[in-house]
Amino acid sequence: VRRPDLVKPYSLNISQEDLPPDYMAILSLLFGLMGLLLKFKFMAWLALFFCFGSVANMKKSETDFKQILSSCMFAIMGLVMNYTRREYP
Amino acid sequence: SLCGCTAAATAAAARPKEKTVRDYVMEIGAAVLIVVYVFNYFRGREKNRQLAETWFQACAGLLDTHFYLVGHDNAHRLTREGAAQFKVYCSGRVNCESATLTINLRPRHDLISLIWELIQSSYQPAFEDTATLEVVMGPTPETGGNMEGFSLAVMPKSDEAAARADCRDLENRLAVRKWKTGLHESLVCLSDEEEVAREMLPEPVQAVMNLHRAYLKVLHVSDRLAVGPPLLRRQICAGIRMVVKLRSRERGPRLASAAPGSGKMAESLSAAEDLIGTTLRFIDRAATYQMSSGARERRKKLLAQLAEYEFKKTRTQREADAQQRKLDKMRKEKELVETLPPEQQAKYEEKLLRKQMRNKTQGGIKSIKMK
Repeated sequence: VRRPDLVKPYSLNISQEDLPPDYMAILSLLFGLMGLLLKFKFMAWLALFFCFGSVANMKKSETDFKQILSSCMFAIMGLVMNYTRREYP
Repeated sequence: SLCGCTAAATAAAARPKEKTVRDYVMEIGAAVLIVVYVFNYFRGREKNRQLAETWFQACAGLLDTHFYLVGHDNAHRLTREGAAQFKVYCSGRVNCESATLTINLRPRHDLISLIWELIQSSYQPAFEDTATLEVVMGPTPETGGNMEGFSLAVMPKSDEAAARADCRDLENRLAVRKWKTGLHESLVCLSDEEEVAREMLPEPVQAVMNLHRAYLKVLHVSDRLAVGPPLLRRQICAGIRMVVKLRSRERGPRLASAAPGSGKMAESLSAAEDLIGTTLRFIDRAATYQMSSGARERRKKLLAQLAEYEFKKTRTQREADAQQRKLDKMRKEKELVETLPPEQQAKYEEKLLRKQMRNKTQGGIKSIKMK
């Protein structure tokens, strides 16, 4: 039954265009943008949590670093902008 | 004294407001959630890894018996795809090209998914821990390239509608019908022909399925199987898919927390081992099965009739497309004629008129000349 001559080496055929959308990363991006532009701290924090969710559920074969990086950047920027802006009386 | 009070009030207003703990409720809550999330991530990930390893060890011996290559690098171990998904690739067996065992577990590592699952559980069945064995046939006769063209599926009755919607080769209820077999009444067998259901599921196989029916999600054998991750199933080939539940709801939901060796876990491991083992032994049967000529002819005729029906259904669309193409052609011709010099335009119009006259006379009733 076992045949070494019939071994086919493993190959992964998933292109980036075929990947399903990562909804957590999209939500993170969306909330990050809203937190940045509308200056809502709550949305910036939500963006961070969704970013965590996206990274936690990332699969090796479906990794899209650009999307993760962009959603992380927006989440962190949203928080930084909200907490470092000067409050005028 | 009035001026003094006003000055004091102005000075107080100019000083920044003192922050209290209440002002930082959101930040404290977020920090606590982050700590809880990170703690849950590592705990859930480790739990999933232990579960996957336990189940893999139950099937490792079987995979070793059937395949020369077990694991991407023949290391005989699971590859972690994600915190809740593990895979092992096998190859080097007669009558198949390769097999992939994928263990999909609940996202115990992700707090957001767990909360979402709790919300969804009120109207949708919760995510189940499953093991999927996908066997792919190759192009050569030695690797199952001569597999007969048929579809066979066994699943619980409650999952029939979802399975038909999910698998293209099962969706037509006229082509793939239910057949009565020795399977338990809670299971249903779908196939093109009664002969396929009868010969592909001998008594030993039915006995194993009946015994472990609580853990059987689907067995699907087809020459048009869509393989790959559920959302990315693009490759259509001949093959077998067996999905085994690693936890049965009939015996209660607390299987994952049971220690290895205890009642429910042992039952789950035994079921996974038996069902996966049966599927691996099933490969030879599926690759070498030959339908009777009568059944083959009937199947061929039925598929041809269904294809014709589908073709006719698209008639309106095809006619509309043909009409659109004709209109586009006429428009392009007209645009081209407008760019020609006047003499050539006149020649073209004369030619068009002659053609229309010819069509008129040839299409109508022939006039007979009376002498």
